[in-house]
Order: sequence, then C-alpha cells, then structure tokens
Amino acid sequence: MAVVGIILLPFIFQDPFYLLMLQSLAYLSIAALGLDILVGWTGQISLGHMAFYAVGAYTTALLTTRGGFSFWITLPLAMLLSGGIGAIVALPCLRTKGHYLAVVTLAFGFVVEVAANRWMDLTNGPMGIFGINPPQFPSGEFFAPPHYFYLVAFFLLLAQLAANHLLTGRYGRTFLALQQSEVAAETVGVNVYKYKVLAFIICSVYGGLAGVFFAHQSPPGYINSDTFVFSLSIFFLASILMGGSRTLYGPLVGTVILNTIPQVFASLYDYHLMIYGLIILGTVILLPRGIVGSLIHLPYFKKRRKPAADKPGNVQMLRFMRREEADGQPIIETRGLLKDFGGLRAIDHLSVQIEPGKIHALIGPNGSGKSTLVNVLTGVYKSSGGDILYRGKRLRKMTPHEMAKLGITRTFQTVNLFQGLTVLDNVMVGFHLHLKAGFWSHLLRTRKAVQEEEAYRQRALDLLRFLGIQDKAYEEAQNLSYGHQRLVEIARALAVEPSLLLLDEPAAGVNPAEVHLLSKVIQDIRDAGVTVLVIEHHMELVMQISDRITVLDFGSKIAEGDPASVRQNKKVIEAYLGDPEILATL
Amino acid sequence: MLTKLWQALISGMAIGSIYALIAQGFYITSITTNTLNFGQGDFLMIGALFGLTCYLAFGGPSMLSFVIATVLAVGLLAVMGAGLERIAVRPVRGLTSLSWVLSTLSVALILRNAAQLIWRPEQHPFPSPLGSKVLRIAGAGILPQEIFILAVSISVMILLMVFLRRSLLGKALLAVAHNSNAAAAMGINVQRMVIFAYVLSSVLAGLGGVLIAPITFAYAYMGTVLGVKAFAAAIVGGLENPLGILIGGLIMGVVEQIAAGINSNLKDGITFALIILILALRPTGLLGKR
Repeated sequence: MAVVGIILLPFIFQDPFYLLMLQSLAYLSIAALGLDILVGWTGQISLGHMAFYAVGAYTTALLTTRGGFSFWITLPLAMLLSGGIGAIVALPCLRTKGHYLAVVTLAFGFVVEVAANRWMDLTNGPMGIFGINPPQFPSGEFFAPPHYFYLVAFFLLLAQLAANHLLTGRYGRTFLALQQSEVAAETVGVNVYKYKVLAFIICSVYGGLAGVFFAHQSPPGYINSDTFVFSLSIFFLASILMGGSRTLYGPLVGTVILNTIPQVFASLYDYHLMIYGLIILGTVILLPRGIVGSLIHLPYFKKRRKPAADKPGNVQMLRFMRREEADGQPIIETRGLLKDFGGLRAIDHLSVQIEPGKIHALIGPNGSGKSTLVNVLTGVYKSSGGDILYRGKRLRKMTPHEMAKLGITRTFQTVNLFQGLTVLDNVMVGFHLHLKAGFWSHLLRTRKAVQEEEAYRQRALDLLRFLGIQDKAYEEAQNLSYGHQRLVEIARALAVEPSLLLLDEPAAGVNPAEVHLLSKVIQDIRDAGVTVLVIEHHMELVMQISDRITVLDFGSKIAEGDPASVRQNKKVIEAYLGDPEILATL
Repeated sequence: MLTKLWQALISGMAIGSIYALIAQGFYITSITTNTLNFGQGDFLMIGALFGLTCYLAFGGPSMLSFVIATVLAVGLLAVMGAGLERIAVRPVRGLTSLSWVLSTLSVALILRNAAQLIWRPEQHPFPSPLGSKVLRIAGAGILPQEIFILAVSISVMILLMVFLRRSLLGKALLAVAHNSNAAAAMGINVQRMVIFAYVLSSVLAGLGGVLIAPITFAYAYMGTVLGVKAFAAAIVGGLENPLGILIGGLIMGVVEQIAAGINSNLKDGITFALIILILALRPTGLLGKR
C-alpha cells in the first residue's frame, strides 16, 4: 500500500519544488531512522549526527566532481566511510558511561562543522561544491527529479525494512534490554559494548546514506558548509522525538511533520526560530511519546495486538539443561580470594569449593561478604587478589558476559529485570548465547532467523510454564508482583543453560507460599544437573534444600558442612547471636 | 613569542573564566536534577543585551551604571531561570533522557528569535566601564576589562563554592543533589531547591553576559557557541566538581587562544579536537572521579 502511495506521489505533486521537498523528506527520514536506532533503542545520546550526514555528502560530492567516479560507486563508498568513522568514534567512547558519548559526538560535530566551513582546500567552505550531477542510467541519461525521488524513496523503503527487521527481532530486543539494565544483560551473555558500537555504526551508515542523497539532489547539484551546523543534529533529534522515539515509524512521521510545518509558516520568516522552538517545546511537553508513540498506546490500538499461539512442548522442560560430567573436580573454587573497597576488606582470604550438581548455600550476617562474593564470581566486580578456578582452570579477570559464556549466571538481590520488556522477551534475552542467526540473517529476515525466533519463543514459554507463570508471558515485566518477577528472573537465568547458577537472596521479599514453590524449583534445577549456589537469609529454605552450607562472617569462612552440622556449630550461633529470629529456626 | 603566550594566557583565562562561570550553572542544576540548561549560552546573551540596554539607559559608560545594569540583568535572568524550570524542566522530569535537552534548547531558540527581533542581529558595542586603554603588562597588551572579568568571575566562583559548602541553603542544595528523598524527609522543600538551582544557574549566565560583552560585543548569536564550549569545558574539567569546572574552563579558554595563534581559521576545530583527545584519555574529566 505504501509502495502504491509512493509511486503516485510525483504525479500528485508535479511542481519541481514539491518534488524537491519529497526527496528531502525521504532522505532526511533515513537519517532520523538511523539516529533513533542509537538514541531510542540503545539509549545512547548522539549530539553530532550531522557529522555523518556531512561525511556522506562531501564524500560523494568530492568523488564525483573531482574524482569522476559514478554515483553508483560513491554511494556504497560513502556508506562505508561513514560507518568506518562511526566505528572510530564509537570504539573508544562506548567503553564508559555517562555524558561521555554526548560530549564527544557534540565535539565531533563541531570539528566537522569547522572543517566544512574553514578547510577550503577540501570543501570550499561557504562557497561550496558545484556541478554535482544526479545519478545516471546505464544509457547515460541523468535521473530526472521524479526518477530521483523514486530512487530515494526506494532506498528509504529498504532502510525502513531493514530497521523493522532488526528492531522487531533479536537485535531490537537486545538493544532495549541493554538500555534498561546493562548489568543484567551482561550476566546473561550480552556483550553490551559490542551492541552499542553496532548501533552507533548503523546510525552513522544511515546518516551517511542520507547525506549522499542530499548532495545529488538536482537542482541544485550544489552543497556548501551552511547546511552542516549543530542545529542540524538537534533537528534530527527533534524529528525523532516528535514522531515517537523507539517506534518503527516515528522517525519517518516526525521528519515529515517537522519539515512540512515550517513551510506553512514560510511567510513568517522572521519568526521561524521561535515557531520552531515552540513546536519542539510543545511536543516534548505535551506529547512526550511522540505522535506514533502516543497512538500506539491508545486503547484502540492496544486491543488489536494479539499474542501468538502457544504450542506446549515436552513438559519435562529441563531436558535441555546441561548435564554435569562428574569428574570429581569442584565446579568453581576460590583460593585466598580478596576484595577490597577502598579501606574496607569485604572478602578476606576466602577459600571455598563448590561441588558440581549440588545446592550449595552461602549464609552469614549482613555485611559478611555474600553478595560481594557473587558479584566477584560473576565478573561484576573485579577481585583484589587471590584466584578463582572454574573446573580447575584459573580464571583471569572476566566480564559478566564472558562468565555467562562459560556457563555461570545469576539472579540479583533486588530483582533486575528488563522492566519495559514483556516477560517473554526477558526470557528470550536469556537465550542470547544460544541464538545462532546473526546480524545479516536478521537484517534480511531470512527463514533461518524467523524459525529460530519462533523455536526459542516456544522454549521460553516452556520455561515459564515450568515455573508456573506462562500465562503472564505477554505482560510487561514491571506489572508483575515481586514474587513473580523473581520467577521471571530465574527463568531468564535458566535460559542461559548455565552449569552454575548463583541465586542472590531469591526468597527476599517473597511470601511463604511462593517460598515453597521456590524451594521446589531450586531442587528441580539441581536435579536437572545445574549446580546452584544460593545466598540466603531465609534459614528454613536454606536448611531445607541445601546439600552443603558455607557460613561467612566479616568476609571469611567460619564454618562449612551439611545442614545438620552447621546448625549446631557454636561459631555460627555466635555470629548470629543477637538475632533471635534466626536462632529460633536453627 | 613569550609575550604572545603570555597574552594568550591572560586573554584565554579571561574568556575561560566566563566559560567556567556558565558551566558552574550546569554543575548546580545537573547535580540537583540531572538536567541542565542547554540554552545557557542564550541566557548569557539575554544578560548581555538587556544589560547593554540598561547600561546605556543609565548614562553609561561608568562603573555605577554598569553595576545597576548588572543588577537589573541578573534580576531578569533570575526570573527567567525560574520560568525555565517551570516551563521546560519540570514537565519533562522523569521522561526520556533527551526531553530536557530538547526542551531547554527550544526555549533557547525562542529567546534567540526574540532577541533578534528586539535588538536586531547586529553586533552592539558595549563600552567597558573601565575604559578601552590597553594596559601593557610584561609586554602583552591587556584590556582592563579582561582583568576585571577574571577577578569578578573567580571571586564569584569562590563565593559559590563557599556558599555551597558552608551555608545552610547551600548544604540543602547539595543534600537534594545527593538524595532528594532523604532531603525531603529532613524537611527540605525539594521543589523549591530545584527552582533555586535553576535561578542560580541563570544568574551566573547573566552575570557572565554583562562581563564578557565589552570584549565580544553583544549580539543575538553570541550565546550559541559559548554555551556549547562551556558545556564541553565542564565535561573536560569534571562535571561533579566545581573546582574542576573552574580549571576546565580556564584551560579551555587558554587552549582556544593558543589555537587561534596557530591557525585562527581552524581554532574552534582544534579546540574541539583537543576536547575529544582529553576525554579519550580521561573520560570522567580531568578532576572527575575515576
């Protein structure tokens, strides 16, 4: 339907001025689309998107006018160059958090602005580059404006389709997940850094592509540095916000609106900044989700989205869990482990061995170092000394996602779900390491990608069914009760198919009935072959399910053994002295 | 050569202290609300232009009219700051991280257009209250205004730092910055503190405007790049640290002057390229927490 509309447009708007406008709308939308992938979906701020638009434009302008290259060669070249520069900017920047990327992109944008304006030898500054011809047909004939519009619109279609494919599948899900909780994404195996860089590169390629089409618009066949200013970067951001960030068609809608409204007020040129400012301000305040974003949330549209079918698989769900090869070695072992926070020693020469296929509990008073140990074991904190051995091999300092690749994952003391995603999507992110269909498969939406998504979607439902919460699959995670959120977090961790699962106070904030379910779930997980390390305060649960218990106090081990021996241990009782509730359960 | 360097140092520190002054405003609002006025530069511009109008109205150039103009300009900016918070910051708190960037920027656009209409786009000379006779210090030509700027802005910033640490109001502001819920539980009116933060930030911008205008002239577009450079200076110095911001601003001003000496055409490019370099080596800023 859209294609028909596009084909008809040049016939409706035959005036050359309108054709020029339509072309602009098309390529500016491409730029906005790319920017939203970065800003809306991964949540990174770029204040210098204009720079890539400029790179694309100048690359093709210079190569065609001075180098004599054909448009059809400069187009891919410009895209490659934009992507390459995007990588150069992103690779060092995205390692850190905070305002960093925003300022670097801001500064980079200004560098490009100054270069465009002042580097006369290259860009000819405000005098610009003349004689940029439109693309040519194989016959040698130049593209006339209506043909050019079809060309740009065609690429817009491709760009939009590619974005849709990526964003509605695995990549969109992963981008959103890392925006909501980088730590949680890392612990289920997502290489957050890599995905952020990828998003930035996609953004810059789209920007460059748009710039190419801008340069070859004919008339005028001319570009100069006046276009490439900071406000252009802001303009792109405003288009996204106006249309609706984090939606598929928001950037397109926003671009169209933000470009056509000023035309209405063209006679009021003196007031154009003010009008522009008022429009943006109004949208940001009154329509924060943007136009498309607000429409999607209207009840009428919400009702029309039906969840897909559920075909229950084999209910013995843990059939696909790894089984431990019993080789006598502890699955994980610490030797003389140390962790200091400034002057505070949280873990003090701790040596612990976790036997495979068992439930090992870690207990101790508050501040004894239990959660710190979990964080160190999963790579969230780096140790300050000592060794960690995984199946007998020393681990060098690893990031959480590398730990996940080894088969170690965790849940968090306070539930750390991807709150804005559905329960199902939360679990799907857990499958990250197992999904084989890569970037290009998803971009092109190959059958392999589609089938894999479908297969894992079903697996996710099976996992949820095992935990008894499959009916909540399509709810947003943040709407669930705390106890249910806990279960979702466990499901997500199980999706990783870990050999070692660390549960950080799974019973915290959970009511007695749910604790009972939890106890059963943890034992089922152990029976399927997963080693479980549980940090807990809930003594009943610990005594009930544990095969082995280690007791910590002030960062070191004060007792270890089976439940019976630990509950009678004098040192343990002393450590908990002053805590009559705990004593009563021992 | 040495005199040129010396010259660059003094002039650079003068403009740099203005960057720092503006950026202190960023610090205050960003620690209390995690937002800042991206249109801070245009607020400075209004301070400059309105200040000029008052200055001339009171018979300037003279120190007395300058002081009156400053007081009036600062007063206007205080009101504008409160207005900005109400219109562009409060309604979008808690929404996407982009909203306040765009809302404050759009207010800046409106201000710029208004300024253009009221004061026309030309550059208006702002005669310094200290006269235009160039002083020769160690061979470098220095305007008295530059020394004036340096003295006033650094004093103001020191006062600001003392105020934040020592006075009750200042501590309340910092309390809100660290933990607004706890601050509210202690009886601090968080909303009022937020407004105060924006008022303070805008006052600083306005002051910067009347101080710098005699050097740069007052015109409707003076704010844009100034604001961006101040922001960059703040990040380079370390946004969580007023001292870092002061140093960041001064460094930025000096670097800019030196870059201008190398190639006045590409001076802005050099400056921003250097910012990228500094951030590549020290992502949290020179004095920021590691």
